[in-house]
Amino acid sequence: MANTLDRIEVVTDYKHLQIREITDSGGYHRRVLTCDQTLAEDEHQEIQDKAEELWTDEVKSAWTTFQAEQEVLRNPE
Amino acid sequence: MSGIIGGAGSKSGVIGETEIDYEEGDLDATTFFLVGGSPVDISGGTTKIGSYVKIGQTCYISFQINSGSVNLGTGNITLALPFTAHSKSWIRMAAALYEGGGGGWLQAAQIGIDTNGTSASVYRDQLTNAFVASSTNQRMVFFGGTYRVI
Repeated sequence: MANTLDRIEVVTDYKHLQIREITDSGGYHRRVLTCDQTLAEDEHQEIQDKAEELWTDEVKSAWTTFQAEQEVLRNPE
Repeated sequence: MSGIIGGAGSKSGVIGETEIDYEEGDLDATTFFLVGGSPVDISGGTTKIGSYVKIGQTCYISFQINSGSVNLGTGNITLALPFTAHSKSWIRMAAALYEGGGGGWLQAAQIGIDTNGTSASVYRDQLTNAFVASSTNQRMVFFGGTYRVI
């Protein structure tokens, strides 16, 4: 990854990883990783370690269930 | 106001008895445009700007995307958010979408951000049909709006 890792924030019961990085120009770049994602091979090691620690099968199952519930709400009858 | 002006794009401090936090940044054109849930590099497009400003729990996001002749592949278009949406945030907002290959400017386009969401869904006609990418035809998204973050 070209950007410098600045901060990892863990949010929600589903252990989203909010990543803040510093770009070459000195500004911030943000992205959010969820437990259903496959991390890139060149992902920061600290992020990979955090995902390995937090993204348990229980968390993944809860996130899948939550998304299915949202899908029902999204569609009109 | 007294407080600290931190690193790039970050400020924090106190106005009266209210603590504030402020952050601004850019979104990378190689990562914020998603097709079928995976990022597509639109850095070769005509316009590819994404940015955010966060003040407290309010985040303003802005996207200006013109894919030009970039091959976007196929799949539903979504936009990666800089922050997870709050558990009490569920919003739908109007957007300007252009669909090359016949659709033209879409009259009832909307953007949706769900509770705890990490990406914004893009709809070509209200909330019924997704805005779909194309390997051959141009797509444009112009959108700015706010949502509540954690």
